[in-house]
Amino acid sequence: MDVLPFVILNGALTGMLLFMLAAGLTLVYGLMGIINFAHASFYMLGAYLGYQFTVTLGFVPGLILAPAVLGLLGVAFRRLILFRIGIQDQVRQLLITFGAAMVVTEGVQMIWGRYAVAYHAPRAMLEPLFNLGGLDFPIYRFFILAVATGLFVAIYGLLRFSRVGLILTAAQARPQMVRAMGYDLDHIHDLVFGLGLAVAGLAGPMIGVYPVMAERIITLLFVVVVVGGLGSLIGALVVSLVLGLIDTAAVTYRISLEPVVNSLFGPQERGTFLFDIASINTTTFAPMLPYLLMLLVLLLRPRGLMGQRDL
Amino acid sequence: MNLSPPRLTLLAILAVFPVALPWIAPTNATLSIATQMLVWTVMALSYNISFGQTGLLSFCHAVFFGAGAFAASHAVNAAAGEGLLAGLPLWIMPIPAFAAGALTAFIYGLFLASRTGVAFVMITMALATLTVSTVDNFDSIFGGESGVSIDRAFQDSFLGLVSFGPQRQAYWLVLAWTALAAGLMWLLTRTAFGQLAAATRENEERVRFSGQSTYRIRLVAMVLAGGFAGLAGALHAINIEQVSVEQFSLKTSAFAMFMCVIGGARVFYGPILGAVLLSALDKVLPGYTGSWPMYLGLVFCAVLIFSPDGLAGIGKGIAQAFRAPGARVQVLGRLLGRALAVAVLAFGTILAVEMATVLSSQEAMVVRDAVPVLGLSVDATSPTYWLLALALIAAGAWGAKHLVPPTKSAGAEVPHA
Repeated sequence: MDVLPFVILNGALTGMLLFMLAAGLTLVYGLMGIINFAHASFYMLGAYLGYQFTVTLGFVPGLILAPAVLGLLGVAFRRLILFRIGIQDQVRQLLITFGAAMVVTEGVQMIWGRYAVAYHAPRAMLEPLFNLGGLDFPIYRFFILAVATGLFVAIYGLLRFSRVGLILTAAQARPQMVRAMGYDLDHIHDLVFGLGLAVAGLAGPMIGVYPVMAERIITLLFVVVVVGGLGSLIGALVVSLVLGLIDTAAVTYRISLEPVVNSLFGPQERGTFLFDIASINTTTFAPMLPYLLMLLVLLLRPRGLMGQRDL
Repeated sequence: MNLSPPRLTLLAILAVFPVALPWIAPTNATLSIATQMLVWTVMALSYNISFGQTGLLSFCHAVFFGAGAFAASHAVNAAAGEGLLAGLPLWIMPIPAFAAGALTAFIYGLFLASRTGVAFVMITMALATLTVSTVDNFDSIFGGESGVSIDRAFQDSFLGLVSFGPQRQAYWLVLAWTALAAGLMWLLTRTAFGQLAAATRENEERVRFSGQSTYRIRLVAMVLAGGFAGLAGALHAINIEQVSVEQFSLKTSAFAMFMCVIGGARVFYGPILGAVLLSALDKVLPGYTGSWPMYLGLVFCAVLIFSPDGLAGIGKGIAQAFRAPGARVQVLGRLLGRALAVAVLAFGTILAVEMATVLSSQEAMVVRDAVPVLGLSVDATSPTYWLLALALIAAGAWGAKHLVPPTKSAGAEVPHA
């Protein structure tokens, strides 16, 4: 069973990438009360931008430019669209981000086509860093892990120890008071919104750049945000890692109901109800687990793992 | 409701036209689209019981639609076969579908009815995703990718006069059920329960204070919405004669939601307007453009921002402007100005979207310098046309902004805790 370290490493990697996507979403919800359905679509846009910049300018410029452009687009989106809706009506706000998600996703597919594009890290980064039980672990994966961890530390530090973090925390409870003290809350919120998308944009091309990447991930991101607790960075980190590990483990150790059903009722023919039961296995069940978790959390502990207030 | 002569005439036309449609419709395909419109009318109206009336934004409404569609399909197949249900006529199939939808909605409602707002949305999303994954696994019931097919002409009904095989007969059957369902849903808005549901949407605390259980109100609203969604599912099954797991997806729910928002969720006939328009466009437009979802998204966003009450709201606004005292010529002038601005904006957008689609297309045989846009042939590679598109968009936006009275800006936030 020497695949275990590999499962843990790959699970952590998936989890950290998920965290990079969810961080912005949970912060924007926690600090501004905006449920951004378009978050994953912007992330997709970031991925394609990253791909485009990498192809035309190179790996490092792609890594820097795509998040920067995405952050600016995010600020523009907030100023031009979200401001028109206002924050009082959360359902309407949710609807407008839902519509925006559709437009951005379609726009990306319109510009880059409805095919997956090939994004490659530089050859040097695909060399194995070390070898675990006969399986290579490339430098690139380690690089992603390092970037994600660094980002978590940076965002957490910013919120916890900086003046901006202090103002944001205060603004959560008493926005009028913070404004009255002379802080331009709109600009600070722009910063958070932009940064949240920039982080997602950085993660963009790392998982793979394909046309349905946004709709694949958006519900999963909400699971992370809800289960972790709204606005809780650490909660999001923990849930992301757990989901990453579950996902990797389920694929690696494939456990099926088939032996159980077969020993009870004998081998089954295709097309019968028992065959369907027998074909349930961890790979088909694992993608459902996050939503079961979310359902349980919403019903039993609406504030999530580490949230401050109920959803 | 005041029944002035012009109103009565309008109602009479609205009542007679759908019944007479099969004699007017040029082809079976047209009639099939019309049937689809009716199915979506029921679906959108049922969505609006929870959305517009009770204020619950649901992403698992399609599950009830799917439940109804599959219940009806299995019932039809059972009726066509030999067994307990053998010989049941086709026209009563929406009843078991209603029951299936309502039952599913009741089970889901037990989890959902205690929550509102964003929490409600999240739970419906989780439930919808879970349902789709589960259903995907049970090919024995849901038929996997190919789905379950039925033969609606499995026996003759009404003394052997109708078999429901021809599209025309199926259309009338669907029309009859649609009229019944829409009538019942309209009556629902008039009942004490309908008023209570609306009150729960507006101010939950007050309803609770007056001694009502808002949990029960939401649960009942969901069950009724689910039942009518199931009925719509049965009508869909009868029309298409084939149902698949796709029916359960989040996208189906979102499509119903688009209909309610674009048509106008605050008015009873709003969702009907949205359903008729969107289901027709959904069938027709993909033949002309590859970017139909793009336009749908853009229109949806525009409606949300500029006309929160949808097309029905716009219609009401126009009617009010005309009824108000003052110079009619001026009102008409302003309306025409606005309409012109919106048309210019729309044309510019269509031009840009179509050119972008063609330009980025990876197929070799695509002709990039002769893009058909609304009957014109434009050159997507020439900057002139791009500048023209941008100028049209800018001019249209400017016109729309300055010809519409500015709405109250709502940028500043209020504590949301």
